[in-house]
Amino acid sequence: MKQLILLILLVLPSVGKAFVVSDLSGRQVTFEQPPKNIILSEGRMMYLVMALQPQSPGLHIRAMADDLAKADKDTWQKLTELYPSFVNKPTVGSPGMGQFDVEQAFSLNADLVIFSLNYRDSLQQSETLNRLDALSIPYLFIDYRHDLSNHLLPSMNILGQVLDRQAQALKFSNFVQKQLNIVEKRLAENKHKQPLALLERAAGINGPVCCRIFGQANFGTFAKMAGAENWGSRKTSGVSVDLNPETLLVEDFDVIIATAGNWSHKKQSISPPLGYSAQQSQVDLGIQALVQRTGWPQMPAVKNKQVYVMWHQFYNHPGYFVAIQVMAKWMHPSLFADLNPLQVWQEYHQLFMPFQSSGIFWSKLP
Amino acid sequence: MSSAQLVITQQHFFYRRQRLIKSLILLALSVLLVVSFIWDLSSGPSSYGLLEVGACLVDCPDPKLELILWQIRMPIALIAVLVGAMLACAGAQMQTILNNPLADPFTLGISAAAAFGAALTFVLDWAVLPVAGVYIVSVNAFLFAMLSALVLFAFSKMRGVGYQTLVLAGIALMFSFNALLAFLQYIASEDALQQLVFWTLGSLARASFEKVMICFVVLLSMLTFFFCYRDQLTALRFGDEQARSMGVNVNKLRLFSLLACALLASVAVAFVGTIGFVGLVAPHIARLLLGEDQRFFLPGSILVGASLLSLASVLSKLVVSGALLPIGITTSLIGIPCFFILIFTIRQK
Repeated sequence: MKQLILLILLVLPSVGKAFVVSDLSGRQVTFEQPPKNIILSEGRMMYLVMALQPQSPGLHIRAMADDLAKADKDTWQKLTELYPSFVNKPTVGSPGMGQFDVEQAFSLNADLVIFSLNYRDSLQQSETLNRLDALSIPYLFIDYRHDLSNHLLPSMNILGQVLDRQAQALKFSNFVQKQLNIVEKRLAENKHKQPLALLERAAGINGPVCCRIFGQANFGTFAKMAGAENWGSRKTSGVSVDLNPETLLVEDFDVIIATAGNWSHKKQSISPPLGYSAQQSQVDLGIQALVQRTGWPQMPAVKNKQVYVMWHQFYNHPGYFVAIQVMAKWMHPSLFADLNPLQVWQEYHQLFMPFQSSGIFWSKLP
Repeated sequence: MSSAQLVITQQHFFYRRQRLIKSLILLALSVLLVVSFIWDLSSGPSSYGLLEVGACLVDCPDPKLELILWQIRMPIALIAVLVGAMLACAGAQMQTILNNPLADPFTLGISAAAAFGAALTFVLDWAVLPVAGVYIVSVNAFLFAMLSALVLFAFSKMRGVGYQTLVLAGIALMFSFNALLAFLQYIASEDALQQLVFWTLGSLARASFEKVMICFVVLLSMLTFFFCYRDQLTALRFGDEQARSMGVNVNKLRLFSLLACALLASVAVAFVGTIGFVGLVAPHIARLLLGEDQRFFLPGSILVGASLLSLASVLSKLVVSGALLPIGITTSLIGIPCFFILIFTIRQK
């Protein structure tokens, strides 16, 4: 009897902490206790983790892929300056290239692996999921870039549960919803013309070649949410398409928005180096270089100075709603005259980032 | 007239008839090229058609059309023709000098080397010539393509290496560079991978008049070289022994022709990306139509290659109005049906 009571007492605390998480693929995963050795199969998932635990972003993160360091050098530099331990975290292979190694996950004592939902089929075909099941390593699917508007908040909620940060996840959710509602409500309540927008993807990254254009995916969706008509959405339901440069002179674009980033390590890049370390003079030079490309100076939108640049990483960033607000303000200046996206972006950093905002993330043709 | 004289006269007549037919085929191919070039110039998302474009070529009253025609359509249409000609010429001569119907810049690793050079820039931001600025991708691609050709060249200078071994060495090079390319893709970030994939699919939108001029100069000088050695090159097709007995310095001719082909392919690939297929198939189409004689075969290959890429350029504009489908895709879409039709009709004959 004594032994039985002891056993019950031993088991009780863990029973109390057991919880079930439903992921984006609809799977239900039971955790006896919050995981302490989490593997992020993509480094950019740190954008979400940072928002949930801005004071201790590396807590419980055992290992991650190196795509954050490759894709967004500015954020990576800021993060590692503050938390040098990130540099020493083991690197795992990305599932996108079929590199994810179950044995490595096992040897790192992983008690949870986070995957992007779009890799589910390939992970299944490569037997990765079966092997993880066999080794009893739980995994969850989230999405932070393919369908941000529908999947970001549920993904944040999933991570909030496993990191035991439900309150912060709720705070995040409320903040994002409130900011998105401002744009959505005003656009719904006020009659407005939908300007025709051309959205160039990673402008100038390969020199003065023009252009890859966003289709219906990510920035295409953002433009729609900001009350614009994205030209590329008519052409492809996919992420992007190559533009025939002649189109620049044929279509009557009201607004041009080009995504850009700090690609200064690419010698052929002429992009305005938007990001945490951007200086206005460099950004201005970059935009000037973009509008000097063949056919651009003759475009009415360029003559009317309706050319804008936006930080490329917003496409997979939980702060994407700021990009929508900025775009809404560009498209409908009078409707959103009182909106101050810069302030929202700074507030976002205070509440959901381990460091303060700096640099430039969007700008206009001077 | 004796029977021997009659046979000779008949043969002479037959030869002249053949020459006439081949000349007519060349003429037809030239017409095809001109038509596809004009079609390319007069197609685009704007409403300017053949008549407006034709008028603008002489005297342009509309500044917008002038800009579209001279800054956008013309460089694309010209580079399509030039690159098609260069790849076809390189493929034709590689098949000739290596006496192998499957030899072309692709199968011998030159394109793979170029793609690897480009990938080094996209993935590792590494450049052979960092001063090349915005041309860094093209310069890297070109230098690696030439490097692979020089390796082949060095290999062929080794004692006892025949052209069959050379083809095998080329194939080994292709697989080596493909493996290195795959490795770079493996470690590439998502954005770098996307750029690399689109580069390798090929695009004519990268055209500019500078590139057109470079292509033109390279093509013209290599054609002059091949024209000077046309008879020796034809002799090579009868086998090395036969060619030697006809006084051809087989090894030297093979080496210099190989370098000339490599130069043509490297420049073409460096500017528009790895467009496969033209180099392999255009010479075959020309051979089916015109036979082996260099005087007809080489211009034929060039005309077929140039027309194929020019038509592919038109198709790449037409599929999605306002967008450009990668040229590597449309080239195969246009070329493969033509090739099949030719193979089957000529077999039936």
